[in-house]
Amino acid sequence: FSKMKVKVLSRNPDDYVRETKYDIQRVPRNYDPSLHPFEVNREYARALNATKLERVFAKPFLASLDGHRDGVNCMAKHSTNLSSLLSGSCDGELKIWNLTKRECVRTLQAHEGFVRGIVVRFCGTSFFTVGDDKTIKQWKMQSPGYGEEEEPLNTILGKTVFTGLDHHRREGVFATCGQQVDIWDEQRSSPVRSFTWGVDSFSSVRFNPVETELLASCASDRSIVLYDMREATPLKKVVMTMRSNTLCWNPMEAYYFTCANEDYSLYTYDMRNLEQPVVVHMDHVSAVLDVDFSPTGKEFVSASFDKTIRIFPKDGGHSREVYHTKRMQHVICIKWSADNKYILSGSDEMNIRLWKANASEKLGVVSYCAEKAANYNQKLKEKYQHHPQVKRIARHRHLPKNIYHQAKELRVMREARRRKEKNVRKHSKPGSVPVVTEREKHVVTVVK
Amino acid sequence: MPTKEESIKAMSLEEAKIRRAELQKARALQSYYEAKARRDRKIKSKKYRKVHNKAKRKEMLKQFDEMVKTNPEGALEELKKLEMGRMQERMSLKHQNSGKWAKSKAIMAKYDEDARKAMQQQLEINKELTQKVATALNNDEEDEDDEEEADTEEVLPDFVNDVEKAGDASNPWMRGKLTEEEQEKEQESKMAEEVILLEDEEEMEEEVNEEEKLLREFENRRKQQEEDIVDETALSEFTSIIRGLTQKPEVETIVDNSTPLEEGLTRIQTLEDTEKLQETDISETAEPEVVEIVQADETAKETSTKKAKKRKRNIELKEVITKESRVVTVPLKVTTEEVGEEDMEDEMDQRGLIKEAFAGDDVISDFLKEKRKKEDAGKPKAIDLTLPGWGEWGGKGLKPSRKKRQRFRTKPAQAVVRKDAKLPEVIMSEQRDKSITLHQVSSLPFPFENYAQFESTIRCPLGRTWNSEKTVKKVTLPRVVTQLGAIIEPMGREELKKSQQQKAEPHTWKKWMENNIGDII
Repeated sequence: FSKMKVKVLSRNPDDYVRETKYDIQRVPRNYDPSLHPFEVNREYARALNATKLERVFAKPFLASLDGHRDGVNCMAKHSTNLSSLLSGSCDGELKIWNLTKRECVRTLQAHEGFVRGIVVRFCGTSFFTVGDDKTIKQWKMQSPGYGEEEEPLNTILGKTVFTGLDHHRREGVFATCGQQVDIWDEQRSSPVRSFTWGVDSFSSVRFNPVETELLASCASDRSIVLYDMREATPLKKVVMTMRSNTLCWNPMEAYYFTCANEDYSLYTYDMRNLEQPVVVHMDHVSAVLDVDFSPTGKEFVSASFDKTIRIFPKDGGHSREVYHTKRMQHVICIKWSADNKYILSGSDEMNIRLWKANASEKLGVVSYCAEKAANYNQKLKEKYQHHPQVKRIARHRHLPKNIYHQAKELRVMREARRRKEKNVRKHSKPGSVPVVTEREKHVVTVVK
Repeated sequence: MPTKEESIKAMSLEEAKIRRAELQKARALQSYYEAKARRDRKIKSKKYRKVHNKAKRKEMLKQFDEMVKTNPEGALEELKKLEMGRMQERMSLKHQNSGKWAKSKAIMAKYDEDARKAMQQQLEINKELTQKVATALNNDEEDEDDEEEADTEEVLPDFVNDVEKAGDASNPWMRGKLTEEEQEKEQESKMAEEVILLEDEEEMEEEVNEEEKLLREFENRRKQQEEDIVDETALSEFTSIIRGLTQKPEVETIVDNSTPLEEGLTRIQTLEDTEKLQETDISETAEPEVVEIVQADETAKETSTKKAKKRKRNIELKEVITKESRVVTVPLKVTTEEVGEEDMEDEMDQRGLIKEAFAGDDVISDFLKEKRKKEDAGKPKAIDLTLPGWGEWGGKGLKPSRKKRQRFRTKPAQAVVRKDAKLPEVIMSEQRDKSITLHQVSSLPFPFENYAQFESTIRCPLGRTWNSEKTVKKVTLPRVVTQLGAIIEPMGREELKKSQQQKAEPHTWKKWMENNIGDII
């Protein structure tokens, strides 16, 4: 028989195991700082590389859900199931998608005309839709069995067109808006309470997810009206310079909501003080159509008529990320998935797109080492974010040419207005021209 | 609704897909068309519009010809439109130079060629619009028109169109010529031409002599030149004022947590792209700085070379006189030497070799010379502003008097103590290293209140090389930790209560120790 050479690792435990249990553990490293010099420089180089790699791996687009035959008008997240999405289009069609397989699971003709609002009940077994045919319909979440036709569980006929819908988080109550804001009980076929404030039409209504008795709605007279479900009259309203399209409550802060306005920016208000917005978020170059908060409450995403999606920090005036594609036309509705990882956008060319919320994140199960390295890199980037080279690379984003030029134009216009104001103040009696901050400029009045 | 469902089912799946694709394409094409039209709308250049309109008209004609073959009804409609346009032009006489603009231009036409051209263009347009389209179809139409007009003739008696006597001046409305209907169609175009010719003749007749014409032209040119000069000077003043303003920008910063994204037209797809980004910015920002520093260096170099030359002479002289070389005791620091297993003999050989190699050079004195040079280069120098001649004799080889030199020599300022003043064997360069300043923060970032705070955050390292594993984990913990696949519910009442309770508890040293004792030990 032949001799076989076997190479084996041989380590002497005396080298790395302590002698007695009363000794301290041996550490095979020397933490003496003189042996590891240039800490700042080495970490700075690592931070720079980390930012560069972040930009290289930033590929946020995941998939496009194809199937609608007209522009996607509204979307709804399933309240208990992460992989379900409901979407309604401008021809009255409603589709339910499976996001893991990225295919349509169920289609039904919900309304004649636009589907204006969809919302899933908190239990997840049924959902409500409103449409241009003045009806509110409740459907079962379960697909109909073999041979059965798609029939709504319940249909309520209204007198006027409904333009928005939202459901209470705990009770069997939902709210619609159209010519007035109505609160409905699921068992009744007429509204429990109707709120009016001399406004012709409301565009959207939303329940506060934390303080669940509060509502807010956007009205066509450029105002946002706040209601308490338990009271008979609206609470108060704030009138702005331009109309808001939709609004969204912060799921982690009880009193904050953000509205998407026609004057290319979004405003975050504190419900308790509507005199001026807390933050003005400016970066879009056309009307902002929809907004949705991240479930962590730290960021929100906005969809705009200029074919881009932007992610803003909750307290930041400028976006931290912008998503755009050649094929994506005007983005009508947007949702941030409930596990904080994905963004879903529905746009005018009948597609729903799935994006990553964090563009360079590695999805799926990540190994322990990879996660550690990712955390370390993230922390380094945060530490050195003020250094000019790191800042430049981290902030760099590509924009389509027309949006780039439009943004430049807007910048020049704003700069000109600012300069004019400054000059007027400089050349008039001190104190005669008051300083109006950017926040105060956009609120006209608050009415109680 | 049920009927719709049936119809949907009736359509085959593929048809539906095709239709949907068509709709999508149509939407996309519409948006592209809109964007194109928006761009085109902005173009104001007359030449472009002229060329564009001409091309469009050609296309229209081509299309019309095609329509004649394929869709005669449509072609008839187009012709009718043309007729309408012609009718409108004949009735309204819009391009006949009878309006306010044309009258003002007519006044200027005597002196201004452009005005004349403009008026002529208008008349050309008129001619074009009142042209008849002579095609086969139109001939049919003309016959029809003739028939129609013949009918109307029967209604009205002939003598209506008889020529009135020119002498009958009582009725001012009847003084003009009455055209005869038979020759109407043929004569119209001739009339237009005649009108144009007449106008030209009139213009020509007004300028009696060629000499006068020339004189007028010269006057015009002089006037124009003066105007141009005036305009130019005005423009230059204007531009200089603007430049002056722009050189002093007042930056009004709105305190904002988030900085705007640097949105550009370039994509970053590879590491090289990020490096290119860095390089371009470096080159852009470094250029003005380089220019300034180069200039400063040049001036410094000039003065230093002069001084060095002088110094050299002095040094050389001294050395010639005193042959002794100064022995400098340089305190050497004890450096740890590894006790290698070299032979003593080898070491001795090595040292001997080195001694032999460097026998000629006096390394230490050379070094000291270099250091002195650098010191003098860095020192502020006394500037000699004396001008020979004023108040005394000046010329070749003559020096100004000492008093004068004393008066005009500026005292050099106190030199800043160099960092290597106490280290005789080290030269530390006091110059700023540009390549490092590019990576350094130039102004205090927003949330920090003073430099010490900011520097303390930068100073402590985060990596495994400098910290234990546990510390690294703790320090690099992300702000938001989420579970994969779990729905994050909005804030609930219980969470709010918990946080309120936590706030109510007192924050003591004891508590902190309890929590963190594990990390410390």
